[in-house]
Amino acid sequence: MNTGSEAILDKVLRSLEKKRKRVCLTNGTIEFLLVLCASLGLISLFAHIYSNNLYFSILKTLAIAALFFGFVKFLLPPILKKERKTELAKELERVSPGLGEDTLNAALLMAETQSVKKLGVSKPLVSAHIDKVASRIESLDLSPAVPKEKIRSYSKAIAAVFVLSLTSLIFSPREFHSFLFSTKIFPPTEPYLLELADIKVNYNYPDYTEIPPQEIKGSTGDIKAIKGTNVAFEATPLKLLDRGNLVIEKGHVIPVNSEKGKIKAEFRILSSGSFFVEDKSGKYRSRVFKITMEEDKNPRVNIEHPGGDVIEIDGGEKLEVNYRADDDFGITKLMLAWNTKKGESSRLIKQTKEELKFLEGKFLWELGSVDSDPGETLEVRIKAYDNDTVSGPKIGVSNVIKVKFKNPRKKHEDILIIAEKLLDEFLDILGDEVENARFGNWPLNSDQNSDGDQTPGQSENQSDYSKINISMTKSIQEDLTSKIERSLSSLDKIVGKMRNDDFSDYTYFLELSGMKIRIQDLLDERHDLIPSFLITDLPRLDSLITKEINEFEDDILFLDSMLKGEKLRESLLYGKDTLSKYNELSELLEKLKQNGDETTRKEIAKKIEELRSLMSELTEKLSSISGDIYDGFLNPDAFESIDLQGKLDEIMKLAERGKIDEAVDLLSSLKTGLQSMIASLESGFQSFSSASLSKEINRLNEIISRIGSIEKEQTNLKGRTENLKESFLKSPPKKENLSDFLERERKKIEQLKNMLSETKAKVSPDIPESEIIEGSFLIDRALRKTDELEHWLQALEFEEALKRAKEVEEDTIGLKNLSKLFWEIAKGDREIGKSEGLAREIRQDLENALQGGTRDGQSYQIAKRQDELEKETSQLGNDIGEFQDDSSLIPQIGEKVGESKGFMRGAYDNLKKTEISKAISNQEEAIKTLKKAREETEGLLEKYQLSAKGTGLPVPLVLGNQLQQGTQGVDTGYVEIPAPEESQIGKEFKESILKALKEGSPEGYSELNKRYYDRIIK
Amino acid sequence: MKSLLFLISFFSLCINALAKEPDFEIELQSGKQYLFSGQVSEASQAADRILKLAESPDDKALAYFFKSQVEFYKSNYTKARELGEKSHALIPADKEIGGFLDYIIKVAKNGERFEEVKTEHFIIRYSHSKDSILVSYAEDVLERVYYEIGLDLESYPSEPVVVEIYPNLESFTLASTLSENDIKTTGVVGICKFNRIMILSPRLLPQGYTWLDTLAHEYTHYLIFLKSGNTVPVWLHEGIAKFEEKRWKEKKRNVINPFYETLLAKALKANNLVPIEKMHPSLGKLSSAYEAQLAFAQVGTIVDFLVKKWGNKSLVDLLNNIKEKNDYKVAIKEVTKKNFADFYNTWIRDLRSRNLKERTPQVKVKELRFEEKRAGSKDQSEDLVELDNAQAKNYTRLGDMLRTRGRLKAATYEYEKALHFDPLSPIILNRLASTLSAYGEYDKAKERLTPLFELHPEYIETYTNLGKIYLEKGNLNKAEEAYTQAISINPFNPEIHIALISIYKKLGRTDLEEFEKKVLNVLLEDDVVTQPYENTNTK
Repeated sequence: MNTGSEAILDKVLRSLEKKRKRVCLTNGTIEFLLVLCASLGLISLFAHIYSNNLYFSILKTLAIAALFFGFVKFLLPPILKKERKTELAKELERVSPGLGEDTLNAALLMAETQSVKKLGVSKPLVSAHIDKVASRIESLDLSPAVPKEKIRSYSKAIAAVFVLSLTSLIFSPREFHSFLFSTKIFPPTEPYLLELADIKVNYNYPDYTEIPPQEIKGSTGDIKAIKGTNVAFEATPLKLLDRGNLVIEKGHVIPVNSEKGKIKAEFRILSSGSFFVEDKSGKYRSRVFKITMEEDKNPRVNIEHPGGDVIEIDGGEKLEVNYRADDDFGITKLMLAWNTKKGESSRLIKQTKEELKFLEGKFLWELGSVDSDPGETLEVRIKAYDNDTVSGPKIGVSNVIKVKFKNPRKKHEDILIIAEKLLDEFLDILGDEVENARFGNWPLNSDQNSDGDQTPGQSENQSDYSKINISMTKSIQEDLTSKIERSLSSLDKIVGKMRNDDFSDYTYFLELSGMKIRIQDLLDERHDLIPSFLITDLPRLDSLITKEINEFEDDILFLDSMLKGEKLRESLLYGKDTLSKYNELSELLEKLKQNGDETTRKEIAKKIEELRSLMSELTEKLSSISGDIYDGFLNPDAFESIDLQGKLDEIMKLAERGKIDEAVDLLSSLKTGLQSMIASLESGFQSFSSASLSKEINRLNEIISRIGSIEKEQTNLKGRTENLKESFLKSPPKKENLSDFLERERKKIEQLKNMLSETKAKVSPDIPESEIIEGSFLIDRALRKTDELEHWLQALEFEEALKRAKEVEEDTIGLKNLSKLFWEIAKGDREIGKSEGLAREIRQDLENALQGGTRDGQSYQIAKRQDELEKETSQLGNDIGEFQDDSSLIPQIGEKVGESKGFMRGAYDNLKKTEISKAISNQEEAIKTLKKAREETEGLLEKYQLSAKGTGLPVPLVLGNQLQQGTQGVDTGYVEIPAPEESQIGKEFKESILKALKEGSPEGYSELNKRYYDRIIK
Repeated sequence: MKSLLFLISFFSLCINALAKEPDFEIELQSGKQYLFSGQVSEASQAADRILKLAESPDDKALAYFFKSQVEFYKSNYTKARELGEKSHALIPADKEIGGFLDYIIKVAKNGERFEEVKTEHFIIRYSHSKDSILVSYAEDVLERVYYEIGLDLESYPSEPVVVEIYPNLESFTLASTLSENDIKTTGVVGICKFNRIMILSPRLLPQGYTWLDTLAHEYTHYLIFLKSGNTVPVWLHEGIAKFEEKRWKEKKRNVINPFYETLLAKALKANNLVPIEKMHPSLGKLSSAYEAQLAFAQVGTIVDFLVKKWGNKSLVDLLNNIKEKNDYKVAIKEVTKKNFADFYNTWIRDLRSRNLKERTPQVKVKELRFEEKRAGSKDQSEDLVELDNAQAKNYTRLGDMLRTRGRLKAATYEYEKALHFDPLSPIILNRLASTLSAYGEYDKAKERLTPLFELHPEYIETYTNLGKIYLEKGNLNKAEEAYTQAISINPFNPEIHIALISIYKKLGRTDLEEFEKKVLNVLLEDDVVTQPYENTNTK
């Protein structure tokens, strides 16, 4: 067989098959495209009929169906078609008759020959047939067996359909257009897209940000700005939009204004989200634009100082805190916040109107105002508030610093330790004073016999100074001086520390301050005496030592009493703490009863341990109190009945066994015992304090009473003086005052003396002395009495003067009677008569004066009483001075009394001169200064009384009042609020005084006016 | 006394009410009379007879009840309780028997815990371990008292006398039927009641008390009961006891001391002696310690006056007469040939004639202060509360502070100053003497103590300080004497026994040295009470 023929035949047939398939496929495609274009064109045309989504949906469905049909009908068959040889043979038959059959046979035979199974056909015959068919088919034009390509024949039609369809599609409604090319088949629910062009956004930022408004042209429409920014959105819709809305996410709708083809809407950014624009009907809607809200950032704040883990500080101290803060828009205020067991507290550090973006500064934090437990640690931070008025101020919180309060009682405890040390120092000094330094124990010279059998304090050899070894004495005294200096330094330290110690009682401070001054005085005397000590100074030294012994004895007793009182007070504090813990334990037991959980049980165990520790402290404190306090002021029964430690154990056991009710009962009984103990401590403390201060309280009461009494007397006296003034006003004086009266009387006395002298001159020369001895005696006596009368009158002792006046009058009457008996005496009859008349006149004048019958007399009486009052005041001043020596800080009471005395002296002088107005003015001043002295004493008494009750005022509080005029704490001093009318009058009065000062006052008034002016200014 | 009478009357009423049989009733009355007159042995025999006579349950109840009472008087607490319970079981509804049983049970609870030591004529009981030391001292004194006071009153008990030492106030108040207030106010620390002597341990008072005198005093009461058949009025009872209480150590019986002299002088001056009538039923019931002490001074001096004027025989005759006549006024007239008013007035005249002085003008009779369970202060200033004068207190406090810091001479100076304000204060004088002796001024120290032996003989520190002085000076016998005196006030101070050990060692008195060592060991041991004393209400 010729294999070449077979190959040719196979090749030709294959080529034919391929050609035929290609043409069929091309034709199918063309037909499909025609269907596609036609259907699209048609539905595009039909889309103009209705603008309805459903309709569009139907059209789209039809189009799809047409396409499907076209595909199935025209495109799919050629793709799937597989040419059969028989069909090919048929086509070849059309090219050349018989060719088809031959070709088919040849193909079959070729297959047979290649088969394993023998057909029993001759191969050569087969080859020949194949060769024949191959050569024939090779020689023939087989193109008629290939179908015609339609593209050529239908090219124009296809082009027309394509153009028409495309045109129709392009001009179809936009919504249809978009729907058609969308993946959706069913009618869409969403509105149609509203195209927007030329978008412009105007940002108007919140005022607080101080950012200028901003316009963005050609914006994408997406918004990004800080919260609270007002946004104006402007755009040109591509579809005519008369009315519409701008819809913000979550349904907030803003109407859109349409003008000149542009739409406008404004809204405020309050959160991130999105928005779109739609027409009124909701049919058209723009794309969704994004809103991005930018947050105002929290301020940043930092505490830069102090650093470290925990800052330990005293309660009364001030802590300097440095800070730095910033914010993107501005800070309005800074607050300091701290946490205690009782919760959070805060205070304002700074508030600014400028709303600065950056703040830096420092402040002093007074920790005294912080309410916290001793030893508690505070967590402190600064909070910065920004100026965000939209969302409210944002808070920035700083780093935390930890502040631990030193135990506030620590300072007080330190003071007490120094006080105990001081007590020892004083005892050492007292011991030295008595044993080594006191007179009688002074070292004797070595050659002298020192075998004295003296007891301390004896001074048998006081006068025998020569025996004393001066250098050794001096050396001992120098040692003693050093000790006193050291003790004074300790005392000074205590007084200094007490000034800032809230637990130190003011009255103790007062006493210790007085003690310091007294010891300083003694020390000064020592410094004056010892360095240049001589044997002649021994008596002075002896006196000094006696004073020092007395002083240190008193001081030791005071310190001892103070320390005992403090221990008692500490015991009381521990007692109260213990009671408070009992209450907590009671609550815990109740809690355990409710829940029975293990945590509560553990808390109970912990609380019991705390109680045990407190009880131990309390027991220690109580045992350290000396017996006389214990026995004298505390009720021992209150301490006997409670076995606190043992019962605590029992409570714990009961709680562990779950017998809560029994534990609660036991605790309750224990609490009652404890309460009784605390009550005993409290009353004991008060009794002790009261007993310790009773001496001072009594003395102050006495001073107040005495000042009050003088004040009352002075007020009465002023009343009397005013009445006198009234009398003068009603009936003006005949230019006569007390001095005039005295002058007048003095002249009368002078005349009387002259008359008596003349009488004596007339009577005596002629008569022997022995015969007229009686008359002569009377004249002499009358003369002597007249001298005395003059003396008493000058001394303003009117009573004495009156007595003498009466005696003189009696003598003159006696002389007159004698003159009737003796002619010699009768020679002086006229002079005697005149003498008698003058004596009577003087006597009557004096009687009138004393009875107040005359204004001179009244003036005299008032002056006399004024003088007496001045003396009483002077005595009071001296007594206060003595008291002040003990407690030198009594504020100016003595000075006030002294001033009052000065005014009384002035009033007395004025009264003597019948300067009534001046006297009243002085009396007024005396009353005022007395009143001030009394009020200050009452204030002091009040402080002592509070101390006696165990609620004495703390030193810093009182000193704060005194020094800072009540800027902190409560001023317990008396304050007189002037009546409104006083203020009004005061103004006029001040003016008149000022005028008077300028113009010059009458003599005696200028100083008064000045003082008064000073006072009212104060 | 009042309680005793009440109890006896109460028994009598019960017995009368329930008695059925004439013999039974006669025996019961007779038994009651024996008991009332202190004839306990006779009462006991009668009780046995009564028990035999009792037939009905009620009679038996009464018989048991009486027997219980007799056993109680014989200090057989357990037996008394058992009999009381039998009686109560027979008539449970009887409130009186129930109440009495309640009391007996409480007393028995304490009584059953007693340890006892028997001497020839006494049974001494105690329950606190430390109180055991009292026994050695008490037995010697009691035996002496037995002979001395027995001789004076011509009376010697045939049965051993029970002496009970009570360890605390609660048990003493229960047993004595005195209230705590009575004890504190009037200072009663011993009582003779229910046929026995009961005293409070001196351990309970910070300064102790003259407990050996108290034993002698109460024993005198016992003898008077015995001798007079309980017919002597309280004032005379106390007068004779006061008169005899120091008999064991002093030949001469002298009631008047500076303290009593001052009280009497003041009372005579103010004409406010305590009326005899007011002393009934007990001196312990007087309104204040001052009044009680004045009453003691009065009645003591009345007896003293009687003996001095009519001789010791008059005292014995008086007791016999009172027993016979059961009327002290008649008896006094028999003995003195004076009616009572005359006798009383004669005594007052005698007192006035003695020209008594207010020897201690600042005399103050204070209430009893019991030892508290707390530590003393380091400067030993607990007793300053006893000083009334504030200045004296201040200077003493200064002295104390200086003394604790070793500034002895300076302390002396301050004590001297304190004495200026309270010249006879035993506290200050003792402080001063102690400080003086601390730096070798023994003679001065002794001199300072001298007035205290007379003015404050009960003040223990005076004897311990004196003992120290003698010891330092090497006068061992005198030192022993002083310390022995201190023991008679408060033997619980270890310092005394330490000193005595040293003295006996030096004297070569090994037996006494060993004895004191034993005592010291007991004192230094921890407190041991046989069982805690309870004031329980449970039966």
